[in-house]
Amino acid sequence: MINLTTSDNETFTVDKKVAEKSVLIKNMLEDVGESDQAIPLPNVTASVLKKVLEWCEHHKDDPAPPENEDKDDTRKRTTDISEWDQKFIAVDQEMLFEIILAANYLDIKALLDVGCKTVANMIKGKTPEEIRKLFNIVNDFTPEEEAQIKKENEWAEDR
Amino acid sequence: MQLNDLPPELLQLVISYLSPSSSFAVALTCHLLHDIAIQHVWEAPRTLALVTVGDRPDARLLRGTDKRTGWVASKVRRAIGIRSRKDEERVPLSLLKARRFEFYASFVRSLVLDETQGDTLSLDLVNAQLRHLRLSSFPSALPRLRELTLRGRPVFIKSACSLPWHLCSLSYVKVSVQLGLLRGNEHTQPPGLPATLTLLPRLDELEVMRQRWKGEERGIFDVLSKQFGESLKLVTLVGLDFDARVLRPPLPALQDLNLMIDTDAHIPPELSMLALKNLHLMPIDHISGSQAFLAALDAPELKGISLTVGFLSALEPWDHEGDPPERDPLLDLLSLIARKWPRLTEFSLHISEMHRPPLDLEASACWSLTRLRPLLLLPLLTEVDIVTPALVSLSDADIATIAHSWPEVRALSLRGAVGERAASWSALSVLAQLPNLQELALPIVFRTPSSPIPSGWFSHVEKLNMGQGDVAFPDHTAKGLNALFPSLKTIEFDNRPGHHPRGDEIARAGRLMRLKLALEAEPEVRRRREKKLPVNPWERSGGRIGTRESMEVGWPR
Repeated sequence: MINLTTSDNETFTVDKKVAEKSVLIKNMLEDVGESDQAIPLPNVTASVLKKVLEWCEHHKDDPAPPENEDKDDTRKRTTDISEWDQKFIAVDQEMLFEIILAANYLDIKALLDVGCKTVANMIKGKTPEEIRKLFNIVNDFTPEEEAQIKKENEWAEDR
Repeated sequence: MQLNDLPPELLQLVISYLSPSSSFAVALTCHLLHDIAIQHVWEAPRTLALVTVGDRPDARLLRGTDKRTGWVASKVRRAIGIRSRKDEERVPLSLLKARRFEFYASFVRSLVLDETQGDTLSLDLVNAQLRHLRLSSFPSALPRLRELTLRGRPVFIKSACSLPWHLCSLSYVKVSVQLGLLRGNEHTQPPGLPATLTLLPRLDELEVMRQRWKGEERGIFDVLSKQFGESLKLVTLVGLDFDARVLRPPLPALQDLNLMIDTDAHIPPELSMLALKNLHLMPIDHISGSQAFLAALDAPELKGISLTVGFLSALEPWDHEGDPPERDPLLDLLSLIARKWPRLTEFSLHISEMHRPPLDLEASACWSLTRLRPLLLLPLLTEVDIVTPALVSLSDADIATIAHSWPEVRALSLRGAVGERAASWSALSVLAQLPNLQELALPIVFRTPSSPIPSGWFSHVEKLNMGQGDVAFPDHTAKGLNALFPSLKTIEFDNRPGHHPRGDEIARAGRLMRLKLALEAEPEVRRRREKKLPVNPWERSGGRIGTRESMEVGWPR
């Protein structure tokens, strides 16, 4: 069993197999060796880590991702998310972004992908105005700038 | 916590899942997202090379983006009014090709026209398309071109430079002119290179290779200093008898200079290059030219000096008439460098000569630390690379002196023939304590299996090259090395035969190979070789955005 301490000083005790879904923790364990000392995770709060561990627990028996996926372009295009993951990630935006940040920090690639795909799916097919509304983005373009950008990239707009 | 609070590389990852039209919608929301998303909008067309656009896209360049290709193709078809199979029969293929060319060409940001790659032909192909499109010139089909590279013989360069490149807003132009390098193959009068160059709107890099300079360097440098002084950053000039006096007019932007220079016949007494950072000199058989050049040079920003010497004899204190030597050219050269540029960070000295020195030289062709001593006065050196066919004779005490003199060194390479003395365990354990050392190349002979490990060290050495070294106990030595260099990933050696009898040389090569295999079989080393360093998610996602673009947007690398 491994102990993990969050930024708000809560300690979680988890199975080594679960914790090692995080490449960061896995490397730490390899470098330092196992001990009773808790691993500090200063960038993650308890509420987020709880959620992340829930995901790790469910996916602990998944096969490791293939090594040479750097060249795998198909991964990039597909935004399919498994049903369990879809339910898991159905959280408010705040939590969603926190999970993405934590997955990046802890280096859990599959979870990072789930998070980013979810955001991408939220954006898909929307107009710029709809996207602004959805994510609370303030439009800081002047009308001239907007026209200029549209002109420069007109080929990218689907007609 | 909002979307915009995510770091750029994560926003980039999110956007990488979007189609170009969706990323474009994101780009139109606000400035921050525009800068990140617009790169993805452009990603697909960037992977296309112009060389192929005259005909059909090269499938090799499009592997993995096949869906995008289909998408580009449908754009083109719609643009020329093809909506069904029937339309397709009506529209002539030549028009389809021309429109496809126009479409692809409008994306090109960087263009290479290289005669040595047969690009003359593709320029003809392009011209055929231009006629179809009623465009007056090739540059007018390239509205987004920023970087241009031209490479070839003078006639090709002349025709390429004659195109109206001022129609594009170029930010980087590189020209490489290659005159026949084979003997007797050179034009007596090169066809007006200076006049050709004046046709360009700007020039950032110039490379001219020829057999022998015959005075036309004057005209070239007139043009360079008059017209391109503000932009010219790199100049490479290869050819004998170069008149260095033409370098006197200032080139205020020049940062890199590569120059073949042999004797001191045409070196001016003073040369000022205030922005110069890296100097590479290529003497052949005389070092006097380099010595005079360095003595004349005023370059306060100089950080790196490289010398590629043709023959070892240029650096040996041996008079060809047999008179006793008075001075050591190698020592003189290094003293001058150390005196003038005490803050030098990179130094490299390569002797191209591969064969062993002639017999009468053999006794003296030995580089002891005494002859290299001036380099020890350069405490900021981070890269040192010395390759010579001479004997490099360094005792363990010498190595300790080196480690002490270059505390910052990251890559240390002192490669030469192995003499009586070669580095061994004690030298290595001293070097292992250099905090920044990552690459080490040195003739090493392991006579004993391993050594006690020094206390309080942590070596980052990843690459070890033991030159024409030797090892007595390969298996044990592999374990010892692994313990001494806990980050070691690769070991290399030079297994070309040395000066021992043939049978001994074969046995030596066998022992070295055994060491390499034993080391690579160590589970720890295997793990290290395979372990991937954490990279930012954008790189991990296989994003095809290069360093330059990353810098433009200021992403962390």
